[in-house]
Amino acid sequence: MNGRVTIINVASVLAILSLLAGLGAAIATFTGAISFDSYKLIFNLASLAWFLTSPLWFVPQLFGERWKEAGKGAWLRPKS
Amino acid sequence: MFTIFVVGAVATLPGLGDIRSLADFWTVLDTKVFTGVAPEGFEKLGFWHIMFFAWFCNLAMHVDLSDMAVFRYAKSWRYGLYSAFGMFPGHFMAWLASGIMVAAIGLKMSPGQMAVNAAGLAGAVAVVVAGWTTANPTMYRSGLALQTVTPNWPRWAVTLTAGVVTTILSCFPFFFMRLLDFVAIYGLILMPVGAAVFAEFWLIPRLGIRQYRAEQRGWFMSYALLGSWAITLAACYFMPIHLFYRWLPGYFIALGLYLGLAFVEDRLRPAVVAAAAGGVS
Repeated sequence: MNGRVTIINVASVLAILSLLAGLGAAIATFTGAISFDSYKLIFNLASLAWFLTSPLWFVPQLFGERWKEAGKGAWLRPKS
Repeated sequence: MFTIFVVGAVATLPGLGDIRSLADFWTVLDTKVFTGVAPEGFEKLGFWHIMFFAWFCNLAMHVDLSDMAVFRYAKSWRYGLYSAFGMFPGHFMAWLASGIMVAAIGLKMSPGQMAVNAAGLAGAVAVVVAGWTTANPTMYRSGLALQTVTPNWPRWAVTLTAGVVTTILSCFPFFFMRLLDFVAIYGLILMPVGAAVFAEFWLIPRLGIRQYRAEQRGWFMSYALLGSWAITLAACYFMPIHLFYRWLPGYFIALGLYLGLAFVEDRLRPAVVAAAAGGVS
């Protein structure tokens, strides 16, 4: 159970980081710090990370009853 | 989805001009994005048109109450407030962002090209996912509605049939290039029904009219609803204002008509004999 809670916690943190990475890449290309092509690469990798991690964060029940139970003990999940 | 809109707009802005201040940003918006020149074959829309359309384009779901098909499973009345996410970030913010992204591809009306240019493969995936998630509840609702016509069909078959038909129809430019008018018209057609449901639930008990008369008295059809729907649509048709503005006065016309006709129908129309014999009022 604890291992699953940890995985959900890590997934939620990675999901938030992936959102921030995407936003950061856009701002960086707006300010001229990185090229448009670099922005696209970073944004697409961040999107991939988001789609891989956010289901564990938002809908752990998709992966079975044990994950659903583990979701109740995770940090950034609704408690009710 | 919201992130992709914001990110795509921010990243493509430098391609439209040198922006070093808020004044530069405004100049780029004025000269490259929202130029005030409508594409060929389309009418020019101003601020109020857009504001009303932001309201109107989901009218069928909110004011017309077709969202109730999904909200009947809501655990709290507060879930209804989630509609605001579609309304404000989903319309105002996303439309502003997509305006910038469309300008970045030379104002071509091509959502796929716009998304791929602004955000690469993630943009293309976003367009597909956006279409899918938007269509999901509507497919479910249409399945429920059509099942009243074909009660012997399982719901999955009705929903699948509706999905296949609408998918084929949506491939034709007649539908996807005139989406604004199409959405406005179907919102308008449903609007008197939403007004009647609101009146039936909230207002009619307070006015001393009996609720749910058609069901209680075994009527095949409520003439109050049919009359208020038809007269409201006729009134909206002849209103000398833009299509996007018509629903708002139309809604109050529908409310007033339904209350008046329901009052008369309640007083004058008897129950069907079989229903009355079954012990209903």
